Amino acid sequence: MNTTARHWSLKKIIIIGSFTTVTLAMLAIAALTAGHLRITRGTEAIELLTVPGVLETSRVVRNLEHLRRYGDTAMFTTSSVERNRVQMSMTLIAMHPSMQASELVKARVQSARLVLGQALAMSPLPPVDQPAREKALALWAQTAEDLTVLADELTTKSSKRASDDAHRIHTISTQTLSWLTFAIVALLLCGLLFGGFILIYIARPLQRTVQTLDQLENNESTAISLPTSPVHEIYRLHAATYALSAVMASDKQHRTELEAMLAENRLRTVELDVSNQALKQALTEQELLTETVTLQKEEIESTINRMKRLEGIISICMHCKKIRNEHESWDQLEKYISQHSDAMFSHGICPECIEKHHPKVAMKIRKVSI
Amino acid sequence: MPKFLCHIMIVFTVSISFVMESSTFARGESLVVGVMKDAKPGSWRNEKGELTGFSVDVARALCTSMSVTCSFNETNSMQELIDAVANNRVDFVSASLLETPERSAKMLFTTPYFRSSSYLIARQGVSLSTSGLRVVVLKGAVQMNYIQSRLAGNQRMVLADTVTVIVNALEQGRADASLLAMFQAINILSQPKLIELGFTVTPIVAPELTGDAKIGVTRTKPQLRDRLNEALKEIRSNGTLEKINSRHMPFRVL
Repeated sequence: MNTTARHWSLKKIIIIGSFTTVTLAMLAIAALTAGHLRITRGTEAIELLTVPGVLETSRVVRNLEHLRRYGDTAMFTTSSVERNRVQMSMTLIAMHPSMQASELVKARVQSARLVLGQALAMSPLPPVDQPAREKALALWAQTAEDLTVLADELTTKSSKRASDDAHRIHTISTQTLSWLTFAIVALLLCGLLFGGFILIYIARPLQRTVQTLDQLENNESTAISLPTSPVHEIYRLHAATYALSAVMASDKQHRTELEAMLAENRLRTVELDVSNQALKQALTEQELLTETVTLQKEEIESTINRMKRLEGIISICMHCKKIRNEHESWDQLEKYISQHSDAMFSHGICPECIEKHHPKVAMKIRKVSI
Repeated sequence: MPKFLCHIMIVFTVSISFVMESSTFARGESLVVGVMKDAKPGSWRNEKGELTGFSVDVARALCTSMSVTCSFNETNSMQELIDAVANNRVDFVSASLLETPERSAKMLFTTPYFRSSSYLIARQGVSLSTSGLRVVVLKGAVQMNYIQSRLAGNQRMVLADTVTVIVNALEQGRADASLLAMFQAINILSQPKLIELGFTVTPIVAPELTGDAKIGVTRTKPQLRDRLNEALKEIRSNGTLEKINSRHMPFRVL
């Protein structure tokens, strides 16, 4: 494990990722909203200003054409009533609010009316002065041409305004689309990068860690090699996994050693049991021997004691054969020996004594023996 | 459980009723439209006796747009028309009506559908300041109020119910001039006798005489005003209004 590498906390990564995603999404939404607002405003402007403006211009242009036509009619008609009617019509058109909205139109129309008045004055009915009439017609023709040019100018201006508005909407739409595309692409890239990052540096290491932990749990001895990750938590998890692996390896060795020691211990215990058994037997034998020895000793001591009582110089009466005891009294020989030894006496008579003291009995014994 | 079922039944019944009422409203509704009689080019009867004109065609287009059936109620004067809508005898009026505070108290107004101005039709050399002026105006029109407020001591206002009456008054010399809205002024253009007599047209620039003409709606049906506004928007955007303009007016009045 590279412990010196810089690691980022998962929280920080998620915050940065979320912030970036939200920022780009906000950018997309902002682009869309701003574009929508601008397009809406532009469309509304077109609907409320441009289209009515174009229609208004179209009406003004139509009225300018009417003016020119009425002017032409007034100049070329031979009826004074018609001329009067046309002039009245021109007044109605010229004073209509649609012709009063623009100062330019208003001025040009008023000018046209004045010129027409002058031209009509130069060309009274019935016609009397042909050169004056031609001059009047030329004067009106120039004014009529001015009205046509004005109509063209208004039409062009109106078209240009409509075109500019449409172009502006197109530009706004393009800008919005560009920003939106940028935001969406950035969002996709960001999502791709973030997803890749999560896959490579979080999901995969986690999966490998889980596999390793499973192996460790199953006591499968394997060399651990976890992929590196700049994520702090993953790094810590890997460190913990490595440490756990090391601890488990050490534990396994210790367990083996312990098992060996236990086996040896069990063997030693068996041996000790055997020794103990032998010792116990020896001890029993020892005790038996001791007891035997004690008995023998006691017997020896008894024998010795007994032997010691009949030892030494025994004073015996030279006549009655009584023996002087330790109390300085005199005991019968049988009594003394019986008291100082284990010997017991049984009375009998020897042949000489029988002869001597009991000659008759001795004689009978002899007779019976023969 | 029975209470729950009862609630569902009520909601279902109300929904069905609402849907049926809406479709009935859309399909079976009929409206009465007030227009002025003999008010060319706004509303008039052609040689076949058919009711036609700018205001009539606009009203028809609005009714078509609203998918309702409309019948027309022709009145003899502007005042009668205003009273008809104020008294709920007609649902809306299609005429050259400018919005004024007095009229707003009697009816609702839609969005504008054309622009109007006022003109003085007078003999040559006659103006509103001419001493002893006799001005004929339509009864109930804004021009009547204008003249009424400006009449000098020796001047006189003559009230007329229709444009025909005005034309007759001018032709017969019972009036020296007439202050008319654009519609009526256009009508004068088709009166050769007046032109022969040398009548001229002079625009009168005054805020109360110039402005947007609107449709008047009975105050009892504010939702009708909203529907008319939507219909106006539609006929304006689909070009119907322009076509009607071309059909009845000598120039663009919208």
